[in-house]
Amino acid sequence: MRTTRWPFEAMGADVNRLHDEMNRLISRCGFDLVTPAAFPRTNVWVDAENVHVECELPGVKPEELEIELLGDQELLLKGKRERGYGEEVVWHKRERDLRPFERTFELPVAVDGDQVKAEFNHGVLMITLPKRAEAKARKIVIKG
Amino acid sequence: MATSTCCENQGAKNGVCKPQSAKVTYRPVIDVVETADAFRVIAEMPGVGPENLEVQFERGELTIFGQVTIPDRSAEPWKKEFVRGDFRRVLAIQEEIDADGIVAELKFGVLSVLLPKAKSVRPRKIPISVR
Repeated sequence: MRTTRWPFEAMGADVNRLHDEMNRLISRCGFDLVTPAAFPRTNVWVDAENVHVECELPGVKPEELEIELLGDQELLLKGKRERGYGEEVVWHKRERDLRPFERTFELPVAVDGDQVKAEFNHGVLMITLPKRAEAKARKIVIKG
Repeated sequence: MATSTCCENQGAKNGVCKPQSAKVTYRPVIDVVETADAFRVIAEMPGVGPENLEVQFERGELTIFGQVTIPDRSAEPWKKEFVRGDFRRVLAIQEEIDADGIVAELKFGVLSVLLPKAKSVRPRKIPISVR
C-alpha cells in the first residue's frame, strides 16, 4: 500500500459547508428561503401553464437517469453515477457522493403525462410538465 | 469573489434599492486522485458550459472558475432547495507539474483536469543489467 501524501490544501468538508451556508444566507437578501434536502436537490415552481422541476445532477449521463410520472401528481427520479478513476490511484480528496439515488416527490398540481418534456444541460435537469386543463386557472366571465 | 450589489445590477429605481437574490459563488465539490504520472482533479459544476469556464494554473496553484447563466423566472417557487450560482476553487499543488501537459474536460456538468507530473518527479524504473 502506498502512503497518502497531501499535496493539496488542507480544507475540510466542514469549511466547504460553512462557505455554502454563508452564501445561502447572503442570497436571502431577497426573499429566497432554501430548504436543505435529499439528493438530487430540486427546485419546483409553477406558472400559468406548467410545473417546472429543476435538479442538479452533475455527472449523470442521460442514459443513467430514469424519470417516471406516478399517477398525475407524483414524480420519481432514479439514477446512478460512475466514478471510474481506475483502481491504482491514491486518494487526496473524496468529497463527491456517487451513490445511486432515488427520490419521489409530489407536484403542486395534476399534470398531463403525455406532454412532459425533459432537458439536460451541463448537469442541470429541467423538466416541464404541462398542467392538466382542470388545474389551470380559469377566468370567470361576469354577466352584466 | 466580489459580487455586485442589487443596485449595481439593476439601477436604483426611484431611489429604492429593491433586493434581488445576489449571485452566489460556491466551492465546487471535488475528488482528487493521484497516479504514478499525474494528478486528476474532478469538480462538480452543474450548469456551467465550456464557454463560461476558466481553468488556470499558475505558480503551483490551480484555479477553476465557472459562471452560471440563471434564467429569468417570475413564477413563484413551490419548492426551493438550492440557489444556482457560480463555482470557484483554488488548489495549491506542492508537487512539480508539467504545465504544458495539463488537459481539462467538461462533461455533464463535471470538470476533469489532468495535471501530469513533471518528468523529474515521476517514478522511474531502473533497468538492472545482468552480468
